[in-house]
Order: sequence, then structure tokens, then C-alpha cells
Amino acid sequence: MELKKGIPVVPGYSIGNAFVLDSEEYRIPRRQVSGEKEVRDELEKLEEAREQSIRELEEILDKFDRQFGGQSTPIVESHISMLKDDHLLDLIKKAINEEQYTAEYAVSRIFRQYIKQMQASSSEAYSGRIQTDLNDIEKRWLRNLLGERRQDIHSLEDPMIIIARELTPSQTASLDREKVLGFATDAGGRTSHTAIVARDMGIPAVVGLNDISNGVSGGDKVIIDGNRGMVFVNPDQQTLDKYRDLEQNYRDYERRLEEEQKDQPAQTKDNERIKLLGNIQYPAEIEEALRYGAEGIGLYRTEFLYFNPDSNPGEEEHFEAYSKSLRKLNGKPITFRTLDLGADKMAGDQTSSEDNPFLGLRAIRLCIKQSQMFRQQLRAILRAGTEGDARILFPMISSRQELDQALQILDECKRELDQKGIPFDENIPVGVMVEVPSLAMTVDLIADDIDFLSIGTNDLIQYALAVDRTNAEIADLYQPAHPAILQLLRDILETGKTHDLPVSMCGEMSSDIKYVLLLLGMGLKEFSVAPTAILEVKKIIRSVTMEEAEEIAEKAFDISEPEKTNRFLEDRTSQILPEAF
Amino acid sequence: MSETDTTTPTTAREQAEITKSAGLHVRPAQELSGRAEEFSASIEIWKDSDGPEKAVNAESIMELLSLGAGKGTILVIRAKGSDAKQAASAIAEFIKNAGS
Repeated sequence: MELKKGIPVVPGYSIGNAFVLDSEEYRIPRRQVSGEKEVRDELEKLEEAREQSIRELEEILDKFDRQFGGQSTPIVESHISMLKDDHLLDLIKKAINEEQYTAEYAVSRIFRQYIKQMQASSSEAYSGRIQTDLNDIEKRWLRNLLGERRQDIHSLEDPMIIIARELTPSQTASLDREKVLGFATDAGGRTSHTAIVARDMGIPAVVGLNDISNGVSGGDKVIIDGNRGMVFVNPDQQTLDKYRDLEQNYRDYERRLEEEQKDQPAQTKDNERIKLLGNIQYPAEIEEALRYGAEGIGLYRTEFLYFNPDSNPGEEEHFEAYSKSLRKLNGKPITFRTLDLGADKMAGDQTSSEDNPFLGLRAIRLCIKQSQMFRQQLRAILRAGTEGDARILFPMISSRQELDQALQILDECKRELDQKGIPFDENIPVGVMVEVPSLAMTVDLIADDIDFLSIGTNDLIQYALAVDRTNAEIADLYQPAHPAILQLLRDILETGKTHDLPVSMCGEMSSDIKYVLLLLGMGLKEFSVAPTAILEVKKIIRSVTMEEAEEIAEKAFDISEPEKTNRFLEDRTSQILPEAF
Repeated sequence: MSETDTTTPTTAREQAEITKSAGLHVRPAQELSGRAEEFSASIEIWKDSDGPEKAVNAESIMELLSLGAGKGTILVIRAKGSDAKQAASAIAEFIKNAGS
């Protein structure tokens, strides 16, 4: 049994078999064969695949030799000698003979062992280089072993726990959520891509585990403890039994919560009405949000339309997705955040080539520069708006000028539709995300030109504290309860109140139940959260009066030390929801 | 640096330090395993800091890589067989210049 610790991002427990996702998305199930003949067959397959791999590499050498005459390609030669290494072959054969493993599982297992051994005995710089070579050889060998039989992430047969370095948006876009039990990744922090997707899907997840993707072989039994940030690999019976109980209890807790809270209004004990909305990335998630009692969708992350590797959405695809969403909501409101591409969210398989992508050409900046794509989307939202209560939300606005540019493009889109006689929602409400500190400090300058504000805490915290939210190394510095953040939030809420401007919060901070009392006490009236967090947030809101919440917020402010503030808030919250901690 | 084992004439022992920054990475490990095969003596290598119980077979590139021998590592070479002496000193010489 091995225990790894990371950052817990989605609570809950799951137990299952690992699907290890590498760049080529192979899954090697832990399987055994029985019988002497079967073992002999595996050994034969192993040797054939090895010879085939060597032949492939020798062909590369030949080709290279013909093209460049006499020039050697040392790395290919090295790969050939690794494949020819008798010692390696003996170890793999031994695993097949003695453990009755399939050839592919034996190969994958022995390579993991070598990588682990090397990591243990050398510096990262040294092992990192060699690991790339070992992964290459392993992949080639496996490809020749498995041929077409390999299983990929998009067509999992059984429910699995996904283990990866970090999931890319295009990988999560086509995940079959019925088949995913949990996530464990090497990289990331509380608001990295995997964390956000997992939270919206309500699937237990632990990120920032550093090297889990190399420590686990496909098919290994894995336990994810999303409450404490722990992952057990090949757990012993005692641990397994303990977690089966925990998992069951947690399910019971969720069921009780649903029965108890679902049909209750979100209001404090003294009848202050709070709006509870859901965050989504695909129209399919609307049902789930409604099932948990969402009063609408406070954040639809529309860029996810771009992450399916096969699609290049045009106006019609946007329109279809949006009008479908509005019909599903049946009159309840939905806020479309316009494309927030760039930085950690690139379309298709692109990667950013900027030095500082989070400070680069992303979100509204990209939309204004490449307005063709932006206009398609705006026209689609305007048209769909006739079918329900639609709102537009611009991300990453940092100044008055930027807002003016975006509004001008919106106006041009309206005029264009008007001229063509296409029906659209002329009075669609427009809001901005407050997520850049420069805007957070000057909200009053734009307050009269917009209809609502939505605080995006993920980026606001990252920019205000200069902490890359996707970097696991500095995840401890990402502190929503930092006094600077609390100050910014209070100012934004104040300004909203002065200008009679509705303010909602759609960042992960509002889904983190320990901050609900604080935000409520600070005067937040609209929470847009991950669908699976709605019931817990509601229960907390329903357990206090406004006066109590205000008192808690005052105290939290006075502490002005993030860790202590967190402990204080956790303590107060656990009096209401002891099962959640 | 060299010290010949005197107990049996067919055993030889040497040690050598890796001085190049890349260490014993893929390419030098491959060359080293190739050199080791040229001798009839069997050759084992271990990290001085680990001791002989962690010895690996010098003819196996994978085993050599698993040593994780970066810059500054001192390796001990032990050869057994009729050409043990030549083998051990040739390998030691190679290791001193291994890497880039």
C-alpha cells in the first residue's frame, strides 16, 4: 500500500481501478492469465512485440542513414539497446511467469519500477531526461503488443479512477462522466482545470500529487479521499474496509441533505432571500443543477464548446447550444460568459506560446482582437435570448475602455441582426466579471453602464496575490482569506450596493463551504456555485440570521491571518455541517 | 586511485567518479554496456555510497540507468574473469569521461 498526499479539491470518496492517462492515452489494465499455455502465449507475444519494436527503430536508423549518410542517431541506437537488454526482458518474463500477468501489464509494471528506482536514487534533472526515453520505449513496446486493442479515455468500458499529470480541456470535454469515479493528478491547485471540471461533475478529486501518474499502473486499486487530499495505491484490506464505510456514510449524508434541503427556499433564519445559482460548462449539466435546486445558471463557461477536438463551432453551433440551454431552464435565468480562451484554456490541442499566458492575450482581450469569433458568439446569444432569460457576461475586463470596446461590438451585432430582420433580445442584460484587480478597485467607474457584476475569485485571487493558480508548488500561497482579498471583496460589494447593482460570485470561493458564512455576512446576495455544492451552501444559509453572519464576517476580518481565518470559519461551519469536514 | 584486489588473480576492483554534468545518461550507459560486453569477465558496478549489495550488471543498459548516477557520483567497478584487470580499468577510464 502506498499513500500519497495532495490538495483536496472535490469532497467525497471513491474506490476503483486506475486508468493512467499519458500523452498517448493508453490504459493498461491489470490482468492475469491462467494456465501454462496462456503464459506461454503471453511470453511469445512479448517477444514478438519486442522484435517488432526493434525492427521499427532499425528502419528509422536505416532511413536516417540513407538520407544523411553515415550520420548516426544516438538516441535511436540507445533505444534499440534498451529494447535488446536481456536483463530487462528477463524481469518482464519473470513477472509473466511468476505472477501470470499479461504481457502488457508486465511491461508497464517493470517500466514503472525502473522509473521509481531511478527517481529514488538520483536528481530530478537526471531522472527527468531518462524518464522521457523510458516512456518512449515503453509506449512503442505496448503499441506493438496491444495493436488496436488499446483502450482510450473516450471509450472507457468500466467506471475508473483517472490518473494523469493534468487533464487538458480537450480530454475532459469528451469524458463519459458515468465512467469516471475520481480524479488524481500530479499538477494543479484548487482552481486548476481538472479541479473545476471535477467540481462541476461532482466527482471526488485530489490534485497537486506531484508524481502519482508515474507511481500507479493501470488497473491498480486506488482510493481517493477528496476530503483529506489523500490517495491510496493498492490499499490493504483494513484501509479498503474503512473507506467502503466512509464512502457509504458520505452517500447517506448526501442523500439526507438532498431530502432535507432540496425544496426549501435559500433564505436566512430572518428571511433574507439569497439567490443560489449553478455553474456549468455544458448544456447537459443544467438538469443536474436544477435537480439540486438551482434557481438558474449564474455562469455558463461557453468556451468549452471549443474543446472538443473535432469541432470548430460557428454561429449555428453556438446558437443551438444556447437555445437548448434556455429551453431546458424554462424561464429561469442563465448568464453566458463570453469566450474565456487563452492561458490555461486553449482551443483544440493548441498550447500557448506566450511567456506569461495569464497576463497575455486571453479572454476579452482575445475577443476584441479577433472579433470574428466573438461576433459569432454574441449574435448567437442575442438570437437565443428570445427564448428565455439570457444575460451576457464579459470576462477579464480591466478598464473602462475595454468595456466600451466590448459594448460597441455588441451594439454592432445588434444592428446587424436588426438590418437582416432576425429576431433577437434587444434588452439583454450585460454584466462584467470582476476578476482583474484594476477593475475591482474602480468598479464605480463602470457601474452605471452595466446591469450586474459577477466576481470571479479564481483570477482575482491569482492576480491580486501574484500566485499562479495552476502551480501546485505555491498552492499554499493561494489564499482566498488573505486580508487583501477580503478588502477587495468588501469594496466591490459596497460599490454594488451604492449603485444598486446586483453582485454575484461565481468563483470557486463561493463553492467552498467554509466561506459561505463570511460572504453572506459581507453582503453577498447571489451565489453561483458548482451544482453539487448547492445543497450544502443552502443548508448553511438557512442555519443563520443575517446578524449572526455579519458578526462572523466582522470577526474573520479582524483576524487578518489567512490560516487562522480559515480555521475560525471551518469551525463555525462545522457546527452546521459536521459531516462535510 | 586504482587498487587491485589481491585475493584472487581473476578479480579486479576499481573506482571512478563521474565528472561531467549530464551524468551517466542514456547514451553513455549504452556505450558502457557495449564496452562491458567486449570482455569475457563479468562486471558489476555499484554506487560507492550504496555499497556492493546494490550492484548492477554492467552489460545491462537498463540496470546502469537505474543507478541514477549523476555528476559527482563515485562508482565502484568489480570484474571477475580471465581479463578482469583490463576490464575493470577500461570501464573505470570510460566512466571518468562519461557524459557531456
